[in-house]
Amino acid sequence: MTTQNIPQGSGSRSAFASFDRGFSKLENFLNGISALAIFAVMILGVTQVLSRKLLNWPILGYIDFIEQSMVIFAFFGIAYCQRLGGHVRMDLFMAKFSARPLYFFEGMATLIGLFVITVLIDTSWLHFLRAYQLGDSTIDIGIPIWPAKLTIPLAFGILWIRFALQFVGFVRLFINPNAEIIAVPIIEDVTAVARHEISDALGEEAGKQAKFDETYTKKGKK
Amino acid sequence: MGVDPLLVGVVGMGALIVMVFLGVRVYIAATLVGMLGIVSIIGWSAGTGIVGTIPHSKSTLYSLSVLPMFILIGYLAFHAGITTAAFDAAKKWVGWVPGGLAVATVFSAAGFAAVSGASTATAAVFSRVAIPEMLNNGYDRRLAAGVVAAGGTLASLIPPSAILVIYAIIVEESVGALLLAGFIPGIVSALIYALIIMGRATVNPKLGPPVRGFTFNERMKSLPGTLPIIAVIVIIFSAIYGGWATPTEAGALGAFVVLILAFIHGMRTKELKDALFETAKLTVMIFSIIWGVLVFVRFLGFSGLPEAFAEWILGLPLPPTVIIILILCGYAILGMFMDAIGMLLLTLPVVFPAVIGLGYDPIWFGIIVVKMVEICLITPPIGLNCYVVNGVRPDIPLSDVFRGIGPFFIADVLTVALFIAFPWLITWLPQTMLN
Repeated sequence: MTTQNIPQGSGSRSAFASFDRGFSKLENFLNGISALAIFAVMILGVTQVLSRKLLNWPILGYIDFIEQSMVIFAFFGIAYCQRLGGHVRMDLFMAKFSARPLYFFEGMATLIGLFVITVLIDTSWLHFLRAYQLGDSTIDIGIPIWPAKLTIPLAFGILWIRFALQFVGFVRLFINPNAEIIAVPIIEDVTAVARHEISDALGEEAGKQAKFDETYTKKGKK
Repeated sequence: MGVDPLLVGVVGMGALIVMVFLGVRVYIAATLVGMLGIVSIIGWSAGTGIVGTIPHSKSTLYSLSVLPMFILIGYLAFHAGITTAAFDAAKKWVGWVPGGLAVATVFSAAGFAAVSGASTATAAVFSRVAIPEMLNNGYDRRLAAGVVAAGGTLASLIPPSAILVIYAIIVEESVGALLLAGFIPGIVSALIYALIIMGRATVNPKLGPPVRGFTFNERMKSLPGTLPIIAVIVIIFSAIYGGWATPTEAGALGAFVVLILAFIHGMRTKELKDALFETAKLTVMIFSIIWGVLVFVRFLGFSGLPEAFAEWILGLPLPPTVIIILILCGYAILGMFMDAIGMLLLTLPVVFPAVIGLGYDPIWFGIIVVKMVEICLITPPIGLNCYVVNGVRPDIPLSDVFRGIGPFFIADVLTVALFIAFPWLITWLPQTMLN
C-alpha cells in the first residue's frame, strides 16, 4: 500500500507552514518539468518512427537523447512524490498505531531517509565530478554525460530538504500530537486509496462523490 | 574484513523486512540495507562509491523509457471514450449468451486492458459504464460488481503492462518477450471468467438474462468504436514482432494515437495536464524503487544469498511443482499486505534464481507471479479493486462486492493451476514470435 497526502499545504501562518507551501511550489514545478519531459519523449518517439520509416531519415542520436533525458522523469519529481506519500511502502501496521507511537516511527523512517539521501548526495556528486573531469560522453553522438549526472545530486538535494521538513513535522507532532498537521503525509486507509484511484481514472468529481460502505472499516476501528 | 558475507546477507534481508514493516519507504529501506551491506563486506569508501553510481546508471537504461509511455496510455485511455464503445460492441456481439452483459463486461475490460495497464483504473471505469446497464437489465448485483472488480485484473497481463516491464528489467529478461507472453494468459483468464458466468447464468437464469435483438447491421456499426483498441494492439504487437520499432517507440506511438482520440472525444488541456502530472508521479515512484532495489540486489550479489537460497530450495525433498505452489502461496499472503510493485521487487532478487534453478522458464514465472499479484487485488483484507467498485457504486455494499468476487477468485485459482499444468500456454507465443 502507498500513502497519499492532501496535496494542499496547511493554511497555517507559521514560518514552518509558509516555507512548506513555498517549497511545495518548487516541487510542483519540478514535477511539471518531468511531465513535460515525458510528453517530449512521446513526441520524439513518434517523430523518430515516422521519420525513419517514411523518410528513411532517423533522428541522429535518438537513443542518446532519450537516455540522457531519462534522469528528468526519473528524478525531478522525487521530492514531489515524497511529499504526497506516493513512494511505495507498507502501512498496514503503521495504521494501527495511535498518534504518538505513529509519529515516533514516522520520524525514525524519515531520519533513515535523511541519512540515505545524505550519503547518496555525496556519492552521486563524486560520480558527477568524475564524469566532468574525464569528459565522459555518449557513444553515438558524443553528448557530455555530466549534466545528467549532475541532475541526480541536485534532485537528491531537493529531496533532502523535503525529508528534513517531514522530520521537523513529525517531531512537532510527536511533542504535541494534537497540533495541526503540517508538511507530513497522513496515512490513508484503503477507502481513501480507492478514492484516489477513482479520481485518477474518472476525474476529480467522481473521486469526491465516491462513497464507501463503512461496515468493515468501522469494525476495524473498534 | 572477516565477516561472513552470507551471514550479512541473511541479516540484511531480515533488516529490510523489519524496516518495510515499520513503514520505511521501500526505495529508502532497500538502499540503506544494500549500502550498509556492501560497506560491511568491502568497506566504506569502495562500498558507497559503488552505491553512488547506481541511481544514474540504472535509471538511464533505454529499455526503461517505455514505462512512462505505457503509464501515459493508461491515464489517457479513459478520455478517449474507448470503454463505452468497447462495452457497446461486446454487448451487441455476445449479449445473447447466458449472462451476456457480464460476459460483455469481461471482453470489453480485456479490450480496455489492451490500452491500459492499470487494474484499479479499469475497475473504476467499468463500474460506471457496465454496472448501470447490468442492473437495469435485472442482473444480480453481486455478479455485476464481481465481474467488474475481477475484469479489472486483466489489465496487468494483457499488454501494455507496466508491471511486466518492471519484472523484465529486474530479472534481466526481454521486455518484448514478457509483453507478448502476457497476451494468451490474459485471453485465457477472460475466457475462463466468461465460461464461469455462462455456466452460472445457465443454471440460474435470474442471475443474468441474455440481451437479444441486435441486427447484424447494428453489430457491424458498433465495430468502428473499437478501432483505437485494435490500433494500439497492432502497433505494440507488430512493433515487437516485426522489429520496426522499439517498445518505447511503439509506446510513444500508442500514447500519441490515444491522445489524438482523447482530444477528438473532447478531452480538455487541464485533463491532459493532470494525466501528465500523474504519469510523472507514478514514473518517479517506479524509477526510485527500481534503483533502490538494484542497490539491494548488488549487495545480495556480494553476499551470495540468492545462490545459497537457491541451493537450499533445490535441496528440499519436495517435487518442484510442490515448491512452486508453496512459493505462489507465499506471494498470495504477501500480496494481502503489500503493493504489487514493492512486493515483486523485494522478493524477486532472492526467489527468482531459485525458481530458475528448479528448471522453470523465467518468462513463465513472470506471468504466473503477476497473475498471483492480481488475485490479491480482489481478495480481502485489502482487495483494492473491490473498494474501487464500492466507491463508484455506493449502493452496492462491500460485502456484496466481495461475495460477487468469489466465483472469479475460484476461476483465477483454476487459471493458475492451468498455467502450471500447461506452461506452453504462456511460453508458446513469445517463443514462436521472437524465435
